[in-house]
Amino acid sequence: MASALIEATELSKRFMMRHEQLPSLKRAFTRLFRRHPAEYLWALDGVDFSVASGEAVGIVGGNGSGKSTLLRLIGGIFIPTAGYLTVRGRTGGLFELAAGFTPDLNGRDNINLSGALMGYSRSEVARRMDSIIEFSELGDFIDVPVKTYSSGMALRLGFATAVAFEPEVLLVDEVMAVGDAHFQQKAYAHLRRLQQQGSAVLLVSHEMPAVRRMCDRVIWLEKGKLLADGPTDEVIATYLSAMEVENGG
Amino acid sequence: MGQTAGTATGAFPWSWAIVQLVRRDLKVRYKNSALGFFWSFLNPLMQIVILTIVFKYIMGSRIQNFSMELFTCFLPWIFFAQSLADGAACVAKDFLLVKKYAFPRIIIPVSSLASNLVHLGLGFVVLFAIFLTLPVSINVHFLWLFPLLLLQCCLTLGLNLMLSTLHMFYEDIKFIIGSVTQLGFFLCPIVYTVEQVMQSDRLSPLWKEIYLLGNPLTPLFIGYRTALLHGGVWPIDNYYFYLGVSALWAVLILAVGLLVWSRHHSRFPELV
Repeated sequence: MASALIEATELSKRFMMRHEQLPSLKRAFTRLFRRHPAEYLWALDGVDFSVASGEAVGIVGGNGSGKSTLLRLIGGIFIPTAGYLTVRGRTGGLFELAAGFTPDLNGRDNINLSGALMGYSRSEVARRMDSIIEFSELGDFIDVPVKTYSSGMALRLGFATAVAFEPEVLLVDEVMAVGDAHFQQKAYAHLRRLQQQGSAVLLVSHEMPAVRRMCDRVIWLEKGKLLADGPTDEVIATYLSAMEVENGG
Repeated sequence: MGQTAGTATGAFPWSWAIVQLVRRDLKVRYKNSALGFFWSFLNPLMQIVILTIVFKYIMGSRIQNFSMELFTCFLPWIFFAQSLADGAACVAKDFLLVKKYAFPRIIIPVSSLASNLVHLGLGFVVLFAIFLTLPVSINVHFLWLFPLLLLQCCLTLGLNLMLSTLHMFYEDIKFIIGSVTQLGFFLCPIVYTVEQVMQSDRLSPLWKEIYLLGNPLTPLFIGYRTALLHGGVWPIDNYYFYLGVSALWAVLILAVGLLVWSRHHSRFPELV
C-alpha cells in the first residue's frame, strides 16, 4: 500500500493476570518459598493488518477480544510484547469517556491539560481553544468543573479536543453511544471530513449501524486473534451470524 | 514504538505539560478550602509551635532561638517528607492520564516534585517576612539555598522514581513511607543541632562520622540553618567535604532512580 499509516505485523500483547488481589510484599515474600507460575493473557495474538491514509476501519468483537488493547497500542500507550507496529503521523484518541479529565478543573483547564499531555505546545492549544469550545457546544459550562458534566457533555469536550488537532490517526473507542443524536451526527460528519482529508479513522463500536455508516472496512477480533478483515457488510454479517450460533439461535 | 501523539518541540518540549500538571495540583489541592494557600504554611507553623513547646519548654532544650532554628530546617523537611509521600503515589494517582495519553511518564514525578517546590517557595516567603521583623538580616549567604535545594531535589527525585516504580508493584510502600520519614525526621539535625551531636559523649567518633557521611540530608540541613541564621559560619570542620559526599549521594540516588524507572516505565499503563 502506498501510504499505509498503520502497519501491524504479528502484533502481540501479553498481560500479566493479577487475580483481583493487588500484589503485596506479603505475597512477594511467600512467593520466595513457593513458586507460583505467572499467569499471562494474550490480549492480542499475532495480528496482521494495515490501514491506509483516508480509510475508516471499524473494529468489532466481543468483550475482552482485544479491541481496546489494539487502539492503545496504536496510540502509543501500550508497548507491544512481540511483533511490529508502525504508526506514521500523530494519533488522537478517545479512550473510555471522561477518563483523563480532571474532575475539579473546568473545561478550559482540562483542554489545556489534555493538549499539553498530547504533546502540543501552548500556542498550538491556544490557537484551537475557541474552535474546541465552539465544537463542544458547552457554552457557559466550559468554565464549570468537569465533575458537574453529564457523560454526554464529557464526550463533547473529549471529542472536540481530540479532533481539533487533526491527527493523522484517530482512535475512537466505544464512546459515541452517550452522545445525543445531534452530536453523534455532527461528530461522525466531522470524522468523515478528517478521513477525506487523509486521516485514518479506527472506530471500536458495538453499534453496527454506526459502523456500517462510518466504515468501509471492518476488522473482527476475538480472543486476541484477527478472525476477519474485509468489506463492512461481509464482516458484520459473518460476525453477527457467529454470535447467533454461539447463542444457540 | 511507543510514539507520543503530539508534536512538542524545542529545548524543553514537555515543559508546558509540566506547568499544566503543577497548576492542576495547586488548583485541586486548595479547591475546596477557604484558606487556600495559607494552609501550606499554617500547618508547618502549627507544628513548629508544638515542637517548640515540647522541646524548649518541657524538655528544656538549650538551643537559643529554638523556633527560628527549627523553622529554617522545618520548611525543607516538610518539602522532603511531602514530596516523598506524594511522589511515591504520583503515578498510581494519575492512572487515568497514564492510560489515556502517551506522554513521557517521567513528567509525573517531576511535576509532583515541582508542586511541592512551589509550596516550599511560599513557605520561604513567610519565613523571610518573619526575618524582616527580627534583627536578622537577609544577606548574601542566603544564596546557599539554591545549591542546597538543587541537591535536595536531585535526591528526592531519585527516591521518588524508585518509590513510584515500587508502588506500581507493591502498594505497601505508601504505608511504610510514613514511619520511615518520621524516623528520618529525628535522624536529621532539625529539632537538635549538629553541634549537640558532635559534643555528645555517648557517640563514638565512628558514629559521628557515619552520622555526617551516611545521611545525605544531614549536610543539607546543616547548610540551611547556617546559611539562613549564622552567616555561613559552618558549625563543623570540613563542612564542604561532607557536603560533597552528600552531593555524591544525591547524584548516585538520582542515577539509580533513573535506571529503575527506565526499566519499568513502559509497563506502567498496564499496571495501574
